[in-house]
Amino acid sequence: MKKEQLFDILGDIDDKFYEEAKGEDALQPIIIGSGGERKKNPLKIAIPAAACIAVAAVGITLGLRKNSGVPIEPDDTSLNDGSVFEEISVPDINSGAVYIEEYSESDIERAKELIISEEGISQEEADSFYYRTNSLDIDGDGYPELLINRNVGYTPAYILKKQGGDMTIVGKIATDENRFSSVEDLYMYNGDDGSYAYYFSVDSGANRSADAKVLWAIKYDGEKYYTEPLLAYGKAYGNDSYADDREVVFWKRGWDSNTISIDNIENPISEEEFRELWAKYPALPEIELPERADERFRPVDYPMIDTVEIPDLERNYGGGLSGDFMSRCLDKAALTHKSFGEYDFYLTAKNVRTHSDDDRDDVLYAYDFGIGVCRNGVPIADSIPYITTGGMAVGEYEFYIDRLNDYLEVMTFTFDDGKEQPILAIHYIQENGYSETSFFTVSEDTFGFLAPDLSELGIGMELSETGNPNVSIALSENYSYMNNVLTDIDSDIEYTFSQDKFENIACSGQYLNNPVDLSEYPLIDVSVLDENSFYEKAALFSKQCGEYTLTMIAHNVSGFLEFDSANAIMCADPCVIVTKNGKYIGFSTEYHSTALYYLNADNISDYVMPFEMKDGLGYAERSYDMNVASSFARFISLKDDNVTVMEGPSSKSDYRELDKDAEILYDENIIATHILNDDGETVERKYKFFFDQSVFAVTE
Amino acid sequence: MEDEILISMFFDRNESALTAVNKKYGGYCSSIARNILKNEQETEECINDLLMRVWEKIPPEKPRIFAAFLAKLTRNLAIDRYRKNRSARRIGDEVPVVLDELAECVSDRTDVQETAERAELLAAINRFLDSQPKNARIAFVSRYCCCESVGSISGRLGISENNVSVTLNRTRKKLREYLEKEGYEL
Repeated sequence: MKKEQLFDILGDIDDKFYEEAKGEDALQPIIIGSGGERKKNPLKIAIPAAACIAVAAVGITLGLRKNSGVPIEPDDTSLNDGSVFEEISVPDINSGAVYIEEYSESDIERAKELIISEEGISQEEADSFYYRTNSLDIDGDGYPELLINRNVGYTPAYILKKQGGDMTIVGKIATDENRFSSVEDLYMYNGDDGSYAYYFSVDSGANRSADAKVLWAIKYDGEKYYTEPLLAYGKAYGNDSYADDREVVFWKRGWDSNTISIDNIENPISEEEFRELWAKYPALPEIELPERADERFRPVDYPMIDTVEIPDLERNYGGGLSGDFMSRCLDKAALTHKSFGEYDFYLTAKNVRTHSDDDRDDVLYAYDFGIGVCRNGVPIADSIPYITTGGMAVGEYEFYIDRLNDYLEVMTFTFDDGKEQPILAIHYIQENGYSETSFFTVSEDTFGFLAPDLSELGIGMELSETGNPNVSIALSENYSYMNNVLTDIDSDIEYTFSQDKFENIACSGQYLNNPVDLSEYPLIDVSVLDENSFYEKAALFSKQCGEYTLTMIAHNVSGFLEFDSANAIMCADPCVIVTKNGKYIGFSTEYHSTALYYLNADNISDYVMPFEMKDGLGYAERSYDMNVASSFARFISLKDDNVTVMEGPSSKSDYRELDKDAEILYDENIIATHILNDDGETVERKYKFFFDQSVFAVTE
Repeated sequence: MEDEILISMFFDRNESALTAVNKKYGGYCSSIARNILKNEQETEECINDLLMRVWEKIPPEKPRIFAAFLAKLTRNLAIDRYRKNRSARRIGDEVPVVLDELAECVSDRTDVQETAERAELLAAINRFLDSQPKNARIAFVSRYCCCESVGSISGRLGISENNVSVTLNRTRKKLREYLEKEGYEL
């Protein structure tokens, strides 16, 4: 049989296997972006779900083509990528020329005719391609424009408006090679002179490999509105295994030169630069962040929910968030509340209701859930959890009614300086196993988001603005972050707080810095564990390295049978503790943000391989995988009683799918391992260890 | 929206069904297409093709499991695009990797000629998958039916990439052994 034939046949396997494999987050709509990652910003315009669909259908707006009128600056009418200024002629609303609340079918047909004329295509072709969208108030005049685009989420898209009783094309949105496919959300800055700055958060959609922003300014000079795509910036993150240059490079507007330049993703502009550029831009005034005074969290606006008084509504399929539907929901409510010292934390939600017709009488549904924080009864901040999953509809979240108290959890964490600080965990509980948790911390009046993995965050704008101008996120303000200390008990997920991106911030986890009392970790026989075995704390093995004792400890240790091996064990926080004559020296660990670790009980002691250096002892700590022989995670020196990770092959990403045993060839001072090269072939890579310098170097 | 309602909208020739499908399954189908095509524009076009194809197929077809129906259509459309564009090298490289992995299950020499033989083989593979542990089955289907990356599967299943790779490796070997035991000449 040919492999291609097997591949084709596999495509036709029983439907149930597809259903099983697709996972819960597969049902996230396309407009949220692939991967289900959902970032919200408090500045988000409250656009209805229907408008979200419109935004999605428009696709990405990396450029605007001139339609008519006078551009703001003559020089800007010809940019490298074809993007130019766009004038939207908005008539005087008070004159009655614009009076649209909704668009009728005849409006849609008229709009199509206009587009057909514009594009010079046939009616048949238009019928097969043109896709009606809903409307969106894109120029901020309170009257929605009609957005129509060809295909779904494809370009070009048109902005039309009913003026003087007739439809007019007032804008055409082109794209830059259709690079992006989805729009996550629409954000807005309000200017103080009628100016607006919209920006679209877009996702390249490719394996969460990049994130980008496109700023679209809309200026009203008293007579006319002007629009312009101002700036795009991006940042690559995540698994870039196939992200080529095209996908991780974004263009940005040259603020001084009025040209578009390609900005390498390795040097994306920061939020600060963004603001500076924005302030310097000559044609548009500086736009301040809005105070959002009317939107700021106030406990009085969110009364504690009475679960017996939740409105039970029929699902409003296809109707979106109509006014009638919204009016029948519980407008705002606090789902739960927790206190810590002078602080009060509220889990807030809007448009709360149940849908018993969903056969889900155990959950309530809500939009826009968030957190409100008070200090001594005074609101100081609000924010939105970092949650990717949701309910059935866009922006909808579901909460188990009987477990509302479990959604907020307050813990404390002792930092290096001895200061005890509250850690707020927001558990978005999903009984299907997709629970997620966001972590926040608060100090004085500063309420900050603790990133579970900083590499997954976008640029600072994602994190800024919590409702109070004095409140900022603490990412760069010398907060100490925990390292591998928080556990989502509900889902058994361990959260890793990566320090990689902030090298100037000391890693100061309590668990890792404080001496471990090995007496709390009884040595167990891992070979006899089964799935019913459970040890909250255990020592998995211990071995000597000269006068040092290396002990691997772990938490929540149990047997695991699903690996088709009775000798697999499941655990959390595996860690090697080094002692000398019974005295704690230090530790080493190879942590990743993995939910759980599966270790091979048959070869448990092989995870640590001691070796002798010319000037001291050390050990190789293999990666914590079932395949013990697969690779080394890191090399540790014990010289002078310091547990120090040495230079060498420390990156696990270098070792993909290893099948062959690695070996240590002490005599030649060579450490050899096997990796897969780009052609998928297993090759050997050798590292020469230089005793005199205690460093490794690759030797081919 | 319930799938039954969605499908009934297609039967009613209600164009809103396309919006609804895109809303509910657009992300899912895009991820499958993207896994294969590794190209955003191609993925978008593939999804557009998908919606048109669904519009053509329903009615008369009435899918039993709508998500799987869409997944298979997406896969086929994406693979068609992949093969069409392969020579132009406009697409990514996940499929060759997947194919190379699957080569461990077969000899890569003989052809499956008859439709009946293909159907029998498909039934055998279904039985094999039924017999596998859930996580192994999900990993296998995600990888070889949906061309999902090991990293992505790892993230979804909450286990390390290495564990996914080991699981896939074992399942491939078991599939080969199973098919040999069932009498197939691989």
